[in-house]
Amino acid sequence: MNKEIPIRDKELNLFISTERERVLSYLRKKFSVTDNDLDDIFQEASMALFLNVREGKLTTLSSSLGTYFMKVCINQTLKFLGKRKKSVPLFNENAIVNPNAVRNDKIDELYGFCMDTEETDRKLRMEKLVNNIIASMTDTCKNILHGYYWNDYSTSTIADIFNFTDANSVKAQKYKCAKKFREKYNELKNKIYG
Amino acid sequence: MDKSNDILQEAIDNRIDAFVRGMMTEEEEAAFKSEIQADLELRNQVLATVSLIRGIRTQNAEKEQTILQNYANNRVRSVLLLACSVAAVFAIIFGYSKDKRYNELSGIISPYYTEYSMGDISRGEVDSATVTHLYTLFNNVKEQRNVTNIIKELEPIYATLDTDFTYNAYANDIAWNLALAYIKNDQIDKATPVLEKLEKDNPDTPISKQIESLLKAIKSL
Repeated sequence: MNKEIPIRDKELNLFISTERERVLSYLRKKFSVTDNDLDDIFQEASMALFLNVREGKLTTLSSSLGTYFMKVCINQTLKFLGKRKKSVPLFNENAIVNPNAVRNDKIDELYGFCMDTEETDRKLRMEKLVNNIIASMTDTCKNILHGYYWNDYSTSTIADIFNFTDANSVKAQKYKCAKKFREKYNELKNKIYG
Repeated sequence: MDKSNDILQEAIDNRIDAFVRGMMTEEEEAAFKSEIQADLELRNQVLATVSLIRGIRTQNAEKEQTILQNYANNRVRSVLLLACSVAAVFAIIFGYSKDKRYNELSGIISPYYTEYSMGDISRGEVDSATVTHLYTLFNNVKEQRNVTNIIKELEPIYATLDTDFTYNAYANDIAWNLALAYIKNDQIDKATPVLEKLEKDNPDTPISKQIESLLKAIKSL
């Protein structure tokens, strides 16, 4: 199987290459498939993603694009195993995510409740500050926080994707990352606004 | 921070998590909010954590939107390619002349911008948040290409300057920046009377000289 993926868009290209290692790492852990077969599965899944994006089928996604793509890859793997008449494990693709997804309306509610200013200019400065601190975080922190709060992955899924021992180590690391962020955020906020 | 503090903080993180995932009952939410209200340190910690979650999500939402939007645009483009080719020629000509005009107008007003410092907000009766907003609008006249919304906000304030003296200390700045925004937006006919009135209200002052030279520049357009 050697299909060329007609990707013209650098963002989608970059997205797929970033997801590659994560997806393959997860599939390797969960299914008994060779690396060569995984390459084919990933190629097929990428093609399916590309076609769906191009045809505008993904404008109302109920999850993040990363989570959607992970589910496509899992389905491709199950299909592959079925075709090869290998034993197909019982797998609930929904189990990879937290059943209660983070809700933007609840974030805005709590953020608005805690925000100590109504000034648009100051709010924008604070948002910039947040973005800068996030950008300065380690890749490990970014991966965990991105997986947990954006992809809504469960901590055990994050452990499988990023090679942590188990869900508890993910939880501990997530706590450390958030703590570091809070310290930096409060320090800079106090420096700027007193 | 010792271990007991970490345990306490982890418990707070879990409550934030439950809140943003909609897993709290109304009573639990209300109790959490009243604790936040009563404890400034807790409020700061919750604000920091929610800012982190919000930041992560906003950044990723923007990235994914770019991917999906690019392809939606590509699709529409390919379907309408033929029909658009003729329109594109007009669009290029129109866009070019629009850009040329924008650059011309921006060039005229660029020497007349004033930087408004947020440190200087103690004039008059207006509260500091309103003045900060006003100064942001003034600074945005210079910074932003599309000034339509700035005009929309400044026009009603300018219209009441003669009858409502709340903004008395900022009247000249409001009129001046509204006029600059009008010029930038290619509404010379609206900028002229604003500048003329401002000149009349401030005879023989440095500002009247500036107005005179700006009026001369826009009348030569």
